[in-house]
Amino acid sequence: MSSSNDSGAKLISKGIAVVAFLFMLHSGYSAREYLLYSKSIGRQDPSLPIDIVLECLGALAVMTIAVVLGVGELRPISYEAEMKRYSVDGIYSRPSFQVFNHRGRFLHPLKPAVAITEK
Amino acid sequence: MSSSLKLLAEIRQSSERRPFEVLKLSEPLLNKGSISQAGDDVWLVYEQVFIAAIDEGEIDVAKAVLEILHKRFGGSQRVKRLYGMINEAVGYPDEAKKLYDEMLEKDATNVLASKRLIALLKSQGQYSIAIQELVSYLDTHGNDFEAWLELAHLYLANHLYAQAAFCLEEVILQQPANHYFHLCYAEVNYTMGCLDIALKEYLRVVELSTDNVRGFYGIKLAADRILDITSHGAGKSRDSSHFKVENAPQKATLERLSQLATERLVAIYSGTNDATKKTVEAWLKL
Amino acid sequence: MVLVGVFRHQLTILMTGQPPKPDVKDIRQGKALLRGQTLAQNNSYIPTAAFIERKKYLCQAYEDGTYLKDKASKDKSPTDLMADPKNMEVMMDGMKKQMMGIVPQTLIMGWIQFFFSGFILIKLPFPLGLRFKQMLQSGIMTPNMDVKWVSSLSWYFINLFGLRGVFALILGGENSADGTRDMTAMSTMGAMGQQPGQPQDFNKQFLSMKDNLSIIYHEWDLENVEQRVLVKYGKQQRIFKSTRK
Repeated sequence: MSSSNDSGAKLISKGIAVVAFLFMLHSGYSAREYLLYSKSIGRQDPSLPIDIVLECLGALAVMTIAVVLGVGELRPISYEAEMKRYSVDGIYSRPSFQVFNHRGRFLHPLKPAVAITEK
Repeated sequence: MSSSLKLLAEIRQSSERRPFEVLKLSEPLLNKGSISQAGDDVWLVYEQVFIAAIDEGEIDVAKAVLEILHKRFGGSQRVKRLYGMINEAVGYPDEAKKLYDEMLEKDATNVLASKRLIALLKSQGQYSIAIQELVSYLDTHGNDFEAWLELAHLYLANHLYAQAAFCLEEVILQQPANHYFHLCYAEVNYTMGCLDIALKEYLRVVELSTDNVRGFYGIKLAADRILDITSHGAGKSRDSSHFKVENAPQKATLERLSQLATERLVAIYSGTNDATKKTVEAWLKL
Repeated sequence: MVLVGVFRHQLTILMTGQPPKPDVKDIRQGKALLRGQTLAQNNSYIPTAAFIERKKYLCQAYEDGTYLKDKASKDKSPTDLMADPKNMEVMMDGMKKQMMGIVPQTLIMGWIQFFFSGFILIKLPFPLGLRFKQMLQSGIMTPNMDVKWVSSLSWYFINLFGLRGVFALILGGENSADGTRDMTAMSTMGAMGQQPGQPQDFNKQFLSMKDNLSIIYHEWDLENVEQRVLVKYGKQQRIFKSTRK
């Protein structure tokens, strides 16, 4: 998948998630209005109509899926996958104990006449 | 961030020693001044370039970079250490030692300076003193796995395998899931003739890292060797007394392990060219 | 409010000062304990012989106090430990720091109480349930007021929590501008078990670590690694129940 394609898909899923969230808010608002209404006409123990419940649950499901699909490429979390990034050379090198007194200085022979001191 | 800065960061994090590439990547950055794009990492990049430069003998570059660092962090112990390192590189070990000693005098807990002193001894070929110093360093800083690893390599350089194995055990205790250390430990044990431990550690390597070539070569070698020794009967074979195989698995298991190693090695090399394949197959006696 | 936060941050920095630098022997002591911990934690990853060797050495060293900073203090009781002038100093330092912390805290809290109490500040544009009353109308004792009205003290606290991000931005992550920590500190002050300045008794810790180590039953993790590898590469069914991972 090319990167532009990828970001496009991400944008779409983000959009879907936002719309689903709005639907969820709407279902919440409807529920409140419904409860106020039933209280005002004095109904005892009002239960929510099925369409509000469905709207809420459906929106939740759609939002969850859209968010999960929209996070982009997932990376492996196993320790082995992490270790693959390192090489034998990197692991076995001991940077604090590097030795510099080697033939490297003859690559560009330019020995200063005096030791280099801090100014 | 430019791609060369990214590459430099990658090399820095991998802690591999690749001075040539570092210098090649950083040269245009230094000349054009675009090194400042690195943001807060810029000083790390300078340090990296400096170390690569003294590794490559590019003393002029190193000096220029060091001056920049000195201007920014004058008096810092970390920069002082760099002065010591450049003196090591140009052949003034005594000056370097003086600088490190000064650092330690100021703060006896400075681990970087202690480590440089040990490295300095190593560079002068004084391995036994370096080992002594490192042991006393580890007596204080017992959880420094880099130092344990260094001590293991110093012992290896002196053919002291049992001591090296001890150090590698310490390293494994600290990072039990890193298969590279198990690999090294297995190889040391194989060298010592502790074939049973070596085989198990090689198996640990391929358990932690799928299709690890060195691990499978080791399994093949160790399993076949144990089979060879045990089938000739202990004591009969002329050199079996050098080997420890008591805790090795059953014969059937050994055969299956050897077979598995052969199979995996053939599979791993199936994508390479014919010459390589032939060499591997000849070694595996197919 | 931001300014108060910044001021508090600077004041804390001024008072705290640098923590005393540990010397080599302190480090050695601490690292020795750490080594025992690592061994106890990861003991199953090294062969049994290697483990027993280490266990013996470390137990002996812990018992003899080889790693103790001050070997003479081995047999001293904790009260003697306190009499040690250096420890005394450390403790006094801790106490001083605590006192210095309390004074500006009370000042600032008093200031807040004085300025921000007894009046309502804003009206929220949306209705809220009764549950929010406690949160939004602290410091005001009128049970019948609509929850829309927010008291000044509540508004102060809401801002305090809200500004945490801003402080993190301008003063860096570990700042002391935000008063929430002070509040938790105040509430836990009475129940504080260990004083921060109290010297740690390493001898005791070493001995308990020795007990920890000596009761470990060692089993090498690689005892059945052959089977695990054969299973992993599909050469064998998992026929046995593995006892440990």
